[in-house]
Amino acid sequence: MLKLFLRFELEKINKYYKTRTLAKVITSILGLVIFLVIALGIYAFFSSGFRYINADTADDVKNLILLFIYEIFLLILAGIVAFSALVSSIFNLFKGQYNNWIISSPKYKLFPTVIFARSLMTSLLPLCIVFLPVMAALIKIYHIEPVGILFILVSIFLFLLIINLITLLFITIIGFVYYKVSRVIQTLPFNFKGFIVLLTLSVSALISYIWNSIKNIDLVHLFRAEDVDSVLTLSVISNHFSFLPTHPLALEIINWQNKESLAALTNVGILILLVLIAGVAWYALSPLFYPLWLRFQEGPSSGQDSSTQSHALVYTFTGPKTSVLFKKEALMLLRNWKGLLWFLFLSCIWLAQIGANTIIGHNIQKYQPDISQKVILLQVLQYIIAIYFISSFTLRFVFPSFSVEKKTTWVLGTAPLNAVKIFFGKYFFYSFFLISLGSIMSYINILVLDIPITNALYSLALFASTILLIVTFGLSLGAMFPNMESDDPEVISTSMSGLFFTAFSLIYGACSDWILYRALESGDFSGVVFYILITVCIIGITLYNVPRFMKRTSF
Amino acid sequence: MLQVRNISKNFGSKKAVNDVSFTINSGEIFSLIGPNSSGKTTIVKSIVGLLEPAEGVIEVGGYNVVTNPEKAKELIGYIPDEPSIWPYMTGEEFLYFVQALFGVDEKSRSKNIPKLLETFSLSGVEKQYFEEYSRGNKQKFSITAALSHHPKLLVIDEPIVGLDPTGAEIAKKIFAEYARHGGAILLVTHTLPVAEEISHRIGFLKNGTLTHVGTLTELRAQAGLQDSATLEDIYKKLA
Repeated sequence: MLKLFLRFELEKINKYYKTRTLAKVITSILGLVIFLVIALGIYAFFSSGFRYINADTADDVKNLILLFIYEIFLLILAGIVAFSALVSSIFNLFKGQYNNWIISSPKYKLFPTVIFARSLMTSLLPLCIVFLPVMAALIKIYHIEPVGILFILVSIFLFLLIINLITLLFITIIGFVYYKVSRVIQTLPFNFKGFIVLLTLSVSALISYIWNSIKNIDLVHLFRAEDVDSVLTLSVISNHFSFLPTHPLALEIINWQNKESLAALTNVGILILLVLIAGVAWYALSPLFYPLWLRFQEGPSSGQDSSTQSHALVYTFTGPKTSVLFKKEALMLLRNWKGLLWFLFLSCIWLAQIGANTIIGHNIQKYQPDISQKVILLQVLQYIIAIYFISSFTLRFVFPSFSVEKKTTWVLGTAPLNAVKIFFGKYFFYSFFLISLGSIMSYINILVLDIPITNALYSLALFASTILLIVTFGLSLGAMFPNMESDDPEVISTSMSGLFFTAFSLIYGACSDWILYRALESGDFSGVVFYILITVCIIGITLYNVPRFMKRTSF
Repeated sequence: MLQVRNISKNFGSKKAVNDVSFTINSGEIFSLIGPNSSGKTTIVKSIVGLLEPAEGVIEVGGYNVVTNPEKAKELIGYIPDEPSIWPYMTGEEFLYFVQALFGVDEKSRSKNIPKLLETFSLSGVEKQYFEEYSRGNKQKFSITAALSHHPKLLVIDEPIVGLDPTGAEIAKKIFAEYARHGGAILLVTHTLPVAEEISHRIGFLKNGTLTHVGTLTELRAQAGLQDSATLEDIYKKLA
């Protein structure tokens, strides 16, 4: 079965390149170039950081700082992998379009393992883009031996296995508990929506627990900077992270760096043991999947009064046609559970950054009298992360919004509307939604760093205009070059126009961040005003031309 | 109500529709039949504005579908063969949405909907999402939505597929009633007994060309068959 699955995946790639081959090869190359640029950025960031730590820090503190960095870095990587696996696996496991073929075959028991394999393959991408450049920086600065490099690569694969196994076990266990409880408590409905709510609450509780245990962390106290004579050992940091599955890998990297081969191999052994434990647990618990799958297919009225499944709130779509389309977009986005989970995932990444800034800001204010320069750096960092959050959201939801309507085109295409009204229905909704979201993000950023009002207003104006440009550009590209081969937003995002949008938003976001940095540093905001004016002009030109282009297009 | 004059459409080197012309008058049901890939759906999509013909003219109520699409579309109700609708929209919301897009005034929408739901016995399921409906119920909602804005021309692609026998019977009655009240219908189907039962005229399409058009009696004569011959017999002879 797994062999068949791998053959199927390879065949899918082969089939993808069979039509419009040249365009797709160029798309792939463009994608690789973008990934390479991101990877180079990560490499430059980490190698300069490692070089700085290596040159200016005492040996015992150096190891401590590096271990702390590895622990945090791996924790973030694990979070991204786990959340991404969680969102895609819930839907692949229980709501996949082609599941019935596999489930009705004699090999149905292997289905969860097929989903696990797919999730593992998907998580190899962040490994290549994020972890490999960090590895390259490590090798360059700390001259890790080839055997060490090999073992670290093996260990990161083991780490991905553990994270994916834990995530799928988490889904299965929560689902099974919910199933059992709903059988005992007859009034508790068992349905997919309830399952997602329960999973979201469980993840929120986990995040809240982690946040509560780290929010008051005192970095000076943690590194014992106030007591320069104290002897520092790795246990100072290890004690805080030892319960996490990321810990053995963080320790192993430090061990290879310090040429402690035996200790490093011990940590590899611990990772293998963790994989075995998680694998055995998966083997024992994955059969629980089948009864859950069966129940989730039963539909709304099984065993319950159908009226309890009715969606009492009915929208009647009043107002002019553009407003009707605006309301339709809002309704479909808010009711799209998979979309909302992706939104939650992206929000978590942004919130992680806010959390980190809260801790760093708190520590800076506590121990340094002159904090202005640090606050500028943090403000600029927050700004770029918020821009990339908005870009990711635009890429995932706004850009594919025309292509995902492929199956429902008949409804809008046969109505007495022109394509321009449909474009502006979507445009007004996403602009309103993302500018509102951006304003909330800016407000939180201002609160966290206690930024002066003038700076905050200029920053907000720059942020809002950049968001509007990103939405305009994303929606326009999506409307002008809809994907005719797929209505899956994840596939559509990796089309040539999607990658072009990614490159554009990365560059434009970085430029606006640089303009903000220069203005904050010099106190002269004329550059910001000029940049906003240029942005508004580009938006105007795009909005003038795209609807004209669409009018000429057959719907 | 519908005039199709000399339309052609190519997909790459393949000629999907080749110089097709026909007219449907108010109160008339016209069926298009033909084998798979004969160009039926291409013609339907061209009429409702989902495809633009390479050549020829299509007019609905005197409005050109290509040059004046909004006016033409106001007069058309379309029922597709695959009733895909947003999975998180309820059936009732879909009816409100379609009426809003076709400019039905807000007071009339609330009055229309209970009546429309009753027609297909959809009351009780109207507040569920489309992802929860069977194919048959999706089809019933798409028929109901097409009728909800009182079109002058109904374009139907495979109306009976997925409907239970009762639903199919109701659909046929609705279409006949609609035509009796002056509506024009273009019906595209493989279900020959349905076409035979309710159509006033039938057109045969083969390789993108309209080869024969006429009433059942005229078609029998063209095929050289006796009066007792069914549409299936005629199809076997002519297609």
